[in-house]
Amino acid sequence: MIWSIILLPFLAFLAAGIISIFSNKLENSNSLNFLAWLITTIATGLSAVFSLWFLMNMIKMEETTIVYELHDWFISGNLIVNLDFVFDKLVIIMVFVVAFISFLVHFYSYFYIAKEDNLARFQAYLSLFTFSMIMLVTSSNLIQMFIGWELISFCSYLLIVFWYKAEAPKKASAKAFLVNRFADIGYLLGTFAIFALIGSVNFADINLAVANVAWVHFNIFGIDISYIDFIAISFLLAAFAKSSQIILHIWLPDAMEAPTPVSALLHAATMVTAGVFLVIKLAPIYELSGLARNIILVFAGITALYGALVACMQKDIKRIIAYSTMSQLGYMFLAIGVGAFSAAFFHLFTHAFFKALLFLGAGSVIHGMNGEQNINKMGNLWRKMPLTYICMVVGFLALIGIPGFAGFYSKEAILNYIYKDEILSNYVKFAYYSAIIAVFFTSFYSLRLIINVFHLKENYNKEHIHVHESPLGILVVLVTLAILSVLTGTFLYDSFVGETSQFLWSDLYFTIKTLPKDTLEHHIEYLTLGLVVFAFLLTYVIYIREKGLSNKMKKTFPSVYNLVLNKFYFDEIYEYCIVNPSLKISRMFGKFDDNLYDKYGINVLASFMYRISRTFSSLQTGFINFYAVVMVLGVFLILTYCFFILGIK
Amino acid sequence: MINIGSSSFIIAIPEIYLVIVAFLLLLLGLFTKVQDTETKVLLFNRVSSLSVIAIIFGFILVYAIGDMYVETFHSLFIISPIIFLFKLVIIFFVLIIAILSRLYLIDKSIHQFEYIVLMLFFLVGNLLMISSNDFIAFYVTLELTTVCTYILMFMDKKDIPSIQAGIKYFLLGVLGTAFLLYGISLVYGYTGLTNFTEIRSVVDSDTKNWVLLIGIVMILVGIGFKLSLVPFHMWTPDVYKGVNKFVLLMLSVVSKFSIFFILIRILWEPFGGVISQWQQIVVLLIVLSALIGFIVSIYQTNIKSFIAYSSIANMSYMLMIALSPSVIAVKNLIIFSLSYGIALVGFVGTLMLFKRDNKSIVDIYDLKGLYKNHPYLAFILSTFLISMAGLPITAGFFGKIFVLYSVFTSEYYLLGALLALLSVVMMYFYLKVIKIMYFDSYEDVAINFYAIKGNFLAKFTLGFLFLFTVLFIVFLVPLIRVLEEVITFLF
Repeated sequence: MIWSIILLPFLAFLAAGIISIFSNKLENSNSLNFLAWLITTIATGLSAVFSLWFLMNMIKMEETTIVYELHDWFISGNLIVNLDFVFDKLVIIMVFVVAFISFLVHFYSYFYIAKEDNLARFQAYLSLFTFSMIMLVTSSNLIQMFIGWELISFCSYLLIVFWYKAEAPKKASAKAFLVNRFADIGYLLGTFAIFALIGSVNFADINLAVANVAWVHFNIFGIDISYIDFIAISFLLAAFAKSSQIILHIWLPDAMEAPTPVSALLHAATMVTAGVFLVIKLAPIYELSGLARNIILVFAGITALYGALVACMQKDIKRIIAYSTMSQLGYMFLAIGVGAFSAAFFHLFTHAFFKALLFLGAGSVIHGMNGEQNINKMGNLWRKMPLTYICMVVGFLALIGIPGFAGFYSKEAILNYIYKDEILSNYVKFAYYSAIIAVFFTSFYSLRLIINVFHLKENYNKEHIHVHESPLGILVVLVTLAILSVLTGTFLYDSFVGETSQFLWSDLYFTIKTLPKDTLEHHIEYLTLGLVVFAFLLTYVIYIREKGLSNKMKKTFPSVYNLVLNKFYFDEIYEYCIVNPSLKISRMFGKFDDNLYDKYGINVLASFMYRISRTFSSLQTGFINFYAVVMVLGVFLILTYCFFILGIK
Repeated sequence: MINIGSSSFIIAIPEIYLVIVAFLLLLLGLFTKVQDTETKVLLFNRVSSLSVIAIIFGFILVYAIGDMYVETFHSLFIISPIIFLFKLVIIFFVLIIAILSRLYLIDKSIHQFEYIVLMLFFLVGNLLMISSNDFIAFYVTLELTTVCTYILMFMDKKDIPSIQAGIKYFLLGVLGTAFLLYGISLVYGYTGLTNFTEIRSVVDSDTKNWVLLIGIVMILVGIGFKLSLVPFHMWTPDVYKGVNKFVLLMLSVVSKFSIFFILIRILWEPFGGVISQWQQIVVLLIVLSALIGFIVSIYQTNIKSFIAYSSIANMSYMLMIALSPSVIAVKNLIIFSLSYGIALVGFVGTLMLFKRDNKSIVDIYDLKGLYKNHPYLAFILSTFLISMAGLPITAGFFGKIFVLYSVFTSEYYLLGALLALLSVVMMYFYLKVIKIMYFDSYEDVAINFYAIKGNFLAKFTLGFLFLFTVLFIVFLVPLIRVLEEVITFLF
């Protein structure tokens, strides 16, 4: 049972991969593609069902951590790495989220990916991703997790470049891959440091041992550094890139070149949350490292604000949601920054559903609009696609955090945790204000998108584009996710962060601060709601009432307008500071390689070897007498060697 | 295990059985009437199939006798856990070569049944040699194998290069044997003994004597000639180039491995006490063989002469294991010999079974255009080549890794580093062959690679070798477990 959760997606990947090889060569590959779709969908669906069943069982039997040992991997000195799979409640919930969203996305893709593209290949990649994500989540040690960690980057690369004939996906995939590769330095450094400190890479050992060694320092270049801080910050580097926090966020918006189901699965619900998951998994370290928490607060606060602000100016429907994802990931990290790991995970959980809903809804809109993604070229779609409209509205209400919807509970929990944090340093205050202000921008861009896409006048060419509601398959997925986006918050609040949350987190190692519903601060709720109403009014005024206002604002504050429109020039700064210099340097090295190193180094050595080889080959004269002489001379050589070197008397 | 007395012949049952089978097959051949080629081929096929079955039974018998430690025949013959493993390895390779070469020999129209009978005698000689516990027994059994190879080379009277190679091997072999006998007599002169176990009790680390040392050197020279260690390697490229691929495999795999196994036993068992004295000589031989073997191999274009240099180089690799007697070293030796032997047998065996334009493949440039013509064959050949080169994740990689591991644990850092670097040099050749197969342009469009017909079992065996090479990582851990269970002590 438990193996099938992990193995089914992998087997599905193999099956679909083999099918895709064959379907590539066929003229009419519809039936093969359908077969691949069916296999992968059923496999991930079963995986989701099994994980849910397993979770229920676990709760019923009141088990804590279950370890399934597969095999020894390697032993090198003190380093013992096994391939074990660990299931505690956190892990199994995460596995369920991954498998379930993946199942929906697998199902959805059949209606979304055009038939002339290789659907089987797409499904194979998706299944491989599902497998690697489950592998990452269930691994028992850092090295094993690194397999999953790398594989999800690789799958992300493959899926972004799925439409490989266009130019933009190629660049975007390379960018995503490179940024994540760079940040993996952090993962490796952290792993090495943990091994140096504790002598083990198992999560269980780390969590138990880390409190006893919190005081250990090491000295490098005369600077005294605490091991714990170093480890925490190293892993943050990796987690920040994977979860697209500011400075390392540049790959996420570009990754929207991927087909929309990919954006829903990888770049909203699961892959980008791997960073958050990693930090939660290493929670004891972050509880001990105040420095790392402060860094998290600053970066996550800026990210939450930045993402929401930039989303207000974007035109591409998917990019708006991508920046929104970034901002929400910022919220998760804010919760971690004040030590509220349970709230972070709760937000991860609810966010997975409503963000997948938003992306898949956007996919439905794009599908209906024949591939148009610019929200200014849409309009008045709500009559044409009413169900998509309703689902999107539900998703955005959950995102903004309207009471009753899922996002409200998780976000409110985070804000309360920040507000109630005992330390109340300037970092926490900064985090608090940025989180509150981000609510305002979130409401603004949400309503802006709804108004532009579904209301206002039609802005597209009606003769060319025949807008239509999406097929039933897409709508089923949307409605399922919409229902979950409403229900998950109300029903699961208590078990994640509320009164009964002690039980869920009992097998983890961090301090659990419960936050019962009746202790929530009401003024935070009122404050955020007020901001939401204000933002709604503002949006209404700008986009419906006073259409000239936005132009006027453009003219009065051109610099601010341009700054936000161009995403604070992050891409340009990177281009100027990192991409161009490294290109220059690599060209220089290339010249050095060709003109100096190869010419006078390698080639000389090679021809020298070749000449020796030729000389000794020519000794092979074929005359036996010569051979015999060589042999006898060899005997004399060895005897002389004995005389002189050994010198035995 | 059955408890048997020290003078029991039961532990020699496999060898006795194989000798009887060889004689029976010889009689079968002699009493069968041969009129034309057809009946000749029929007889050959019959003898060959019977011999394969017989070898399989031999394998089972060796396995059944088990891994105990017993001496017999007045302490001339011995079996022990490591000898048990060595024998299994040797029989395994002979079995595979017997399966692979049947159709090759028919196709080359050298289908005398005596080939097969000689192969059996050769096998018996090797098994007896590994088991010998006395210099006299060792010498006699060594001669048995050598005489078999001489006859194998002289068998085809129309094949002039093979006869030429045979004469060269014979004349130089006599010289090598003279050195070997001289060495044995010097050792006898010093100790008055020829038995390994008895010499071991006499020779210890305090022994410092020129007579003994020169005796050891001479024995090393004699065995080094058979192993084609530099500077006694001169015959190797010429002989390998002359003989056919069947004899080539017998020489480069079976003979090399069994002589190496007995060398290890001689160095560790009777002369284990004076290890510090012979170690330096062996290091010198290793360095010379590695330099010549690895570097000269890159200039070759003939596949057989390349295999000659490659085997010189790989013998130097194997010889590094001999430097430090230990249980782990034997384990690494078995892993290395399996991985290297299988890659080599697979490579040559594949070339045996395939022909190009009705000619067998001798030159690396004969492989031009193979990828276009026969992509799977190209892939299989490249896998064996990569395994011989020692790239991950093939078997050869693990073989080399384990040898280097054993070298580094016995603290021969420079030596290990030198050989690792030199094997990078030889990588040039392997990659060149792969480049020729995959990328070289070829003008002749009509080239046609095809397999000799009707070799299902051989293809199956090749597939097994291929899988073993590729999936070695899967077999590795169970293999190590088994080896650790079997090898509990050295002597």
